[in-house]
Amino acid sequence: MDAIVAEHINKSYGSYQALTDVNMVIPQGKVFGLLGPNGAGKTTFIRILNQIIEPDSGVLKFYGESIDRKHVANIGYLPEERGLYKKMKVGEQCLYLAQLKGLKEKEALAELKMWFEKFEIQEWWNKKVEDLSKGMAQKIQFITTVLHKPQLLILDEPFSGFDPINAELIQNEMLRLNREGTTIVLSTHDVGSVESLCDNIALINRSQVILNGSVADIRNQFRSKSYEIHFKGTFLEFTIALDHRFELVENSTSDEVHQALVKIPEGRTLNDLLGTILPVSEIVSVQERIPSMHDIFVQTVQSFNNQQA
Amino acid sequence: MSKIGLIIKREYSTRIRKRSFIVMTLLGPLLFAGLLFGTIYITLNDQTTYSVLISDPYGVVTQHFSKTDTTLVPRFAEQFKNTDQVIYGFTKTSPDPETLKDGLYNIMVELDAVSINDGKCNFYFKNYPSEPVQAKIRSDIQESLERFRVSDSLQLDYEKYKRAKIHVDFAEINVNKLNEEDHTQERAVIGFAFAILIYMFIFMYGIQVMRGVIEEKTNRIVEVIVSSVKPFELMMGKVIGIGLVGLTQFMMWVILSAGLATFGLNYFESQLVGGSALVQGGQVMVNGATQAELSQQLMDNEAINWLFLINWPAMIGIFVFFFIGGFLLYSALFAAIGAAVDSDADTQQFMMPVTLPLVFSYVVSALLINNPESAIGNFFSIFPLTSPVTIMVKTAIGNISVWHLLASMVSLVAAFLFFIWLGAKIYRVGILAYGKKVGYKDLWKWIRNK
Repeated sequence: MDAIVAEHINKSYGSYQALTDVNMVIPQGKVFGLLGPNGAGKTTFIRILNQIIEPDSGVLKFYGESIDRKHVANIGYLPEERGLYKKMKVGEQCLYLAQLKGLKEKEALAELKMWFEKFEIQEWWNKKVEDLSKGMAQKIQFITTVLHKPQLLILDEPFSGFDPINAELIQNEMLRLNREGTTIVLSTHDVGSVESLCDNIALINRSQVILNGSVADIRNQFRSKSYEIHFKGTFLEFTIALDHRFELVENSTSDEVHQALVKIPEGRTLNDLLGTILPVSEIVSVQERIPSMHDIFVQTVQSFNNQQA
Repeated sequence: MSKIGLIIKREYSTRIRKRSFIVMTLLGPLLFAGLLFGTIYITLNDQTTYSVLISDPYGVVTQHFSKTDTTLVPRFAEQFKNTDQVIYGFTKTSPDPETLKDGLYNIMVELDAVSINDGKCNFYFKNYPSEPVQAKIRSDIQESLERFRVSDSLQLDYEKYKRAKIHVDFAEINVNKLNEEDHTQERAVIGFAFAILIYMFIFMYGIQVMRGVIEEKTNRIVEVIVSSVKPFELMMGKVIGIGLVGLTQFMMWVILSAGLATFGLNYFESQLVGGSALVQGGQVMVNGATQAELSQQLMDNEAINWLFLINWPAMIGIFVFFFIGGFLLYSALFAAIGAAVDSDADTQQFMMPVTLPLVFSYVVSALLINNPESAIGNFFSIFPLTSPVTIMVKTAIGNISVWHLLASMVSLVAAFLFFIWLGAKIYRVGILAYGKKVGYKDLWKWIRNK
């Protein structure tokens, strides 16, 4: 079953179109990256998931059911703009936020005790939030987001503003929750920071989803069949052997080992290439050049924007 | 507990524990009582002796003691008798008032041509005397002038004149309530005091709602909260919670004031029995009255007995209803303002249209004291933006019909439902809009958003 299925979601603010016909599937138990430049519509989509705002049209399903107020208790949300009541005591505040999510006071206290022990912050319970450092407050925010054991955890720009130690701690906790079955949505404009974490992504640009699927599939789709070849021998002979059948994209020569990036055109295979160059060079290594998500992101956004312009 | 209940509980309990709330709640009635009883106490306990110089260049109230002795003495022996507090001196000159500053006398009264004709005298003083002292001086001068005018100018017998003279006093009686005096004016003043109270409460607690909304916005907690509850629930929870804080404070004030008043009156009664005098209508009552007599006199005292004519339970009931209604109406608007801005400093541009009717209602109430039956007063005590304040004056006077009250209540309820609906529309969008300066155009757009 999928955690979220969104079909034909539209949302506009006056004349400003925030989301245009958005279709998205967030598979259960996966880490899902919601990527896109600032202002693309990510936060609008997340607010719709959280039922903070309503879409103008479209269908949204949460674990197979049409989304409803009762699902709020099954979602944990750490917004990009996050904060706490400064004058309130830490413990009181955690309890309040947990009860708003539907937890009973007793359950909330037990859960809080567990988390405070885990993060070794029991002595903060009676402190006021204004007396905490920013890093301390961030831990509290994370705890209040996951306290009610949500099925779906939505983190908007989770690693911006966190210090590296907290970012690491929260990433580990997040992955642990994911292993235990929690579906996670990470929204960010900084693709590099989540590349290694995500199983699936959707790329939103100018209110539209322009790329969508599993990371492996997308990478595959963006393979350019370029190979990095390290070899010994004379570089001239190597290039002559390539002839016009294979494209030499870039190269660097040295006294001993030369390096070349070769693109294989449609209709030919790596075997063809190897057969061509084997007679003239001693191959040290051959490796496929796989594009990074960041490259794919930049490339896709640019080509989309050029098309629109 | 329901989510809105949780929000109300948080708003209420965090505010009621604040030091400023506790101090205000306890100090408010003490301040009122202190001001009231302080004034009475000072008046009753003024034992200063005043030397009073009567400047009488025309010789209207004074004469030489004898042909040989030119010392000035009162012309009419009954007037200008010295007492413990007032010692008179006389002069035929018109001394420069400046000389009073360093001179022997505390007070100088000038009897010039104008005074003789229409009773207007300049009253110079170094320190302002208590009302009884003023009353004594005034009556001495008045009677002397009367005697002068009656016997010297009109050649009449003063004793006959005195018998003919009559003082007219209206006992105001509403035909709808025969058997009791009306005291409309005094009651209107009490009503105005309540109007000020309701005005103050709506303002004070309305601003608290606005501050609370701004706080949640600038703290960036609001998005976390609205991912758990509906924006409308958050807004209403805050409004209701803060309104309950206001009601708590009012109730505490009523209870504390009633307690203090009982205590204070008892204290003054006991003081009066052992003490010097009770002032009543400019007359000085002498020692020796019993406690029971004094209590009775206090009840009969014209300055106080109309207090018992006001229907206090109705007054408090109507106060509570109109405070709740007015507060709901205005705080919905204050919440909308709070949501539309990013900081306290930006609220200015939106405050005007909200505070204007409130201030206006205060002004209308003040005018109603002198003209409680005016048609304009009737209109503004039904118009929902002004009725919560204005109705208090009308209620205190007691000239309000049940239909009038009902119309006022119904229009208030309709209005607060409308303004809550309107406020919520702005609130819902505003709390999530950061960083851009919002104008009236944007508000209109938010309202039209479905």
